[in-house]
Amino acid sequence: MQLLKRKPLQYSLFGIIAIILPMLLNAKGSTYTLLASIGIISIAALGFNILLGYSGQISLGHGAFMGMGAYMSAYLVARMELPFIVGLVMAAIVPLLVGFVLGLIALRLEGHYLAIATLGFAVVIEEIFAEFSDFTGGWSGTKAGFPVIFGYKFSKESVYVLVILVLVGLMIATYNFMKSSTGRALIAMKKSEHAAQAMGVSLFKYKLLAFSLSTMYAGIAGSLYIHFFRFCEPKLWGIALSLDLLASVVIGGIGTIGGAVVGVAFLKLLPTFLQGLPILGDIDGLAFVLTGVSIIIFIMFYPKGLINIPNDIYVRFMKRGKEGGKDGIRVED
Amino acid sequence: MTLFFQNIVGGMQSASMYGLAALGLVLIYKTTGVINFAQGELGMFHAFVAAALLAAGVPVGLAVLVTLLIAGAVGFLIEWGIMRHAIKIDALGKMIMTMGLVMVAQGLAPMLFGNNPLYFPKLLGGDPIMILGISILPNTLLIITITLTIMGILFYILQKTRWGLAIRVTAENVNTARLMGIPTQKVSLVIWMMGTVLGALAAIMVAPLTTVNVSMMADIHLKSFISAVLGGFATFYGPVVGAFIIGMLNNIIGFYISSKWATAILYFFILIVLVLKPTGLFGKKFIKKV
Amino acid sequence: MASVLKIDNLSISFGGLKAVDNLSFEIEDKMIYGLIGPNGAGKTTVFNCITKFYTPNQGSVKFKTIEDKVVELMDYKVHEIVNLGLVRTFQNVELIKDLSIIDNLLIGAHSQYKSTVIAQAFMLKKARNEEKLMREKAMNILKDLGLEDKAEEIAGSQPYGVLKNVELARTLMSDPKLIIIDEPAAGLNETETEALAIMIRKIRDTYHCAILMVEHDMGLVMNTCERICAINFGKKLAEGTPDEIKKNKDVQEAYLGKEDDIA
Repeated sequence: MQLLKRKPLQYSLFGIIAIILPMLLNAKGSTYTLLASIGIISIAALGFNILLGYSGQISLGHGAFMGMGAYMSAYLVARMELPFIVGLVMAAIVPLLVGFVLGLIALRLEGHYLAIATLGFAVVIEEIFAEFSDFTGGWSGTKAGFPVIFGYKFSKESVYVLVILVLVGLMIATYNFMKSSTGRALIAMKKSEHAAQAMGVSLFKYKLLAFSLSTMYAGIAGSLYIHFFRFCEPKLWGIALSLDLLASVVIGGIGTIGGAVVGVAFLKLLPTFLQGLPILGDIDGLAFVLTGVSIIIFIMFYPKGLINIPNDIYVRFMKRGKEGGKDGIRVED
Repeated sequence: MTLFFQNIVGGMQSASMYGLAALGLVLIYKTTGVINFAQGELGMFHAFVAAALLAAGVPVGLAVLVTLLIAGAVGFLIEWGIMRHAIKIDALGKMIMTMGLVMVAQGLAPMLFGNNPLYFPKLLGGDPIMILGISILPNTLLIITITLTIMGILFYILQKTRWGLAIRVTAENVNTARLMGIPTQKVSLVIWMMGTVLGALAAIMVAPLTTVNVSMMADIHLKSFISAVLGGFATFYGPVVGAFIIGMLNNIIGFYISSKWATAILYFFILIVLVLKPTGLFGKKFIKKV
Repeated sequence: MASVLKIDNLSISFGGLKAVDNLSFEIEDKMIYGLIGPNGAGKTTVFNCITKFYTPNQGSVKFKTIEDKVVELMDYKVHEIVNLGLVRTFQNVELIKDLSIIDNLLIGAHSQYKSTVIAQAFMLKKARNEEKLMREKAMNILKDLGLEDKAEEIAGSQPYGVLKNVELARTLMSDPKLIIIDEPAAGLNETETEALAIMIRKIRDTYHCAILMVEHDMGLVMNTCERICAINFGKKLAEGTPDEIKKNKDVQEAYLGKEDDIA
């Protein structure tokens, strides 16, 4: 039991179950599509949570960064016929660099200029995706195939496995550096900017680090997206996607690693669940409205997010255990 | 030269809408500390309301009036029903809540009004009028006139009336204002109503120029934000001045350089301004107490 | 430069108000130095100027670093100060409440970590060793201050008096040459204050650093400080040994008011 308390082990276990369960149940193709999209968006949400949960900044441009990763990867792999690994790595590096430059400008300013700067960035990038048709295929979209690694051709099911492996790997890596001096600096920065500064944490440097790192996650997610769905068009990467990421993180649990995955799963399963209902399933936009309402409700009443529910139940009924979720957005009295 | 002025006048039209939206934005920001990301989408929703009323046979003037009343009611509901209960939540949390409102507005519009775009006629038809060699559509003239009138009234209220004083004091420091006996809660209620109405007005003005659809406000929304950033969030007039600069620059860049890339060029121009003057053109720098 | 810190003609004003006005003083190596003054005299503002939370309008602050180099603090940014060997505490205890006490200490060692984010993400040997060394160092400091059994406690669950000591312990993680302490006795009772005096002297003797403190509690200041500077309205009133300060007329007036005021 003690061993199970170790987070990296929990994440690995989650990965194994996520891979094996659909196999055992002989899942349909559409189930794999749903699960893979949860996995892929979770990768981006994980990055988004570093930004929101640890540096207290919001980006409305993460959808655009994902798109950048997707087009980069599609161009290099499908068009230039370079290996998939090269595409994946470049899809991580290019958004990282672009995010770095954007952050360099927007994060010098106090307050919430990053949200506004990324809003503008998202609109401009969407135009670029549509207009640079040589590179992106323009409005008619771009195509890519399933990945090939060292001669092994992936199928739909095995790309899903790859997605889960990347997700779990990133969860563990994120956990590791959150437990290191970098993570502590980020936590210190969020909780007390003054203390962080006095201890030698450059607020600008760490906000920039959180932002560029999170854009890298988005790029990786974008690359996996295009190689799973094998098609994308410019309007996919708009502000709506960034808002989805924000909603996932808020609902799942701000500043937690598992929360990103839980939130994305909630958001992706909600429309599927609604469709199954009589009458309600036929109402357009209901999932959107419910997501929006959920954001407001979670921020106001349960900023710890879904991920903390088991812990709260445990604390309530067992009357022991440590106070769990620690990254509420509520101002302390 | 005529062409240049022609573009300036064209820019004034978009600037009017950016300015109204930006003014709504900064009113809410300065008095309540909330950056309202739902400003544009709430406007979009109200444009749908106006178009639906029109489609139901309500005369234009009445439809606009009813819509603005509804917008006021929506602003009231947001403050009274949500934001008032969120005093303990920090600025970041409140900003996220307005992003929740964005999703609500984007989901409600198709739910109530269907998935197809609606049409909204120009408030004033007619052929272009020539003034000093520049041709202006009567509708453009109307938009500019309405905007300037509304802004004139608002700034008069802000500067010269008791209510305006209450708003300005609240914007300066909520706690001090409350201690001085200013009903800050009423102020923020009124401000949310005003902000929402201004957003709705901007949307109704843009509606005849595009169609009434879910993404109709995307451009105005962004431009009103960068207007506020350019002018600085520190004053009420800064964002309005910013809006007029942005509106005209947008048209001039669009005409002389590239209409396709006008937004992108403008955006990079704003980024450069911010590098040189991080607080915006009319910004102030504060020393934070440690 | 013989002294560790030398302040010359420091001035800062907010709006029209001069919070610090042409202030100069000097702290020798390994000295416990007190900065006193009535409420609103500008003491904390002096601290914030030295540690670059505020940027003074004029003046110079020279500091002798760990490497015995004399630098001008005005050329550094707020987060660079700790690297030079100057570290501070806060009036209201700025610890990270959700983290354990030992993690709070490790934040104090932030500027000493050398491994990269990548090394940390993949837990490379270098990063693991570094973390282990820092933990040992933190445990040693906690032991010195008698806090070792609290290492794994969450900071938020501890009483105020303990947190004050933890904040002191955190400063030691950066191997400071000078520790600046902002009102250490605020919120403490008499026994705790006495223990604090012992702790401060012990820190100086064990870690061979100078200490500059702002304090209201005259008992603590007179007991621990070897030299004192008294200020009022941002200006220096007097400087000297505790006895000299006690006898100084200007200081007495500033604290008690002029005699004719009373009459």
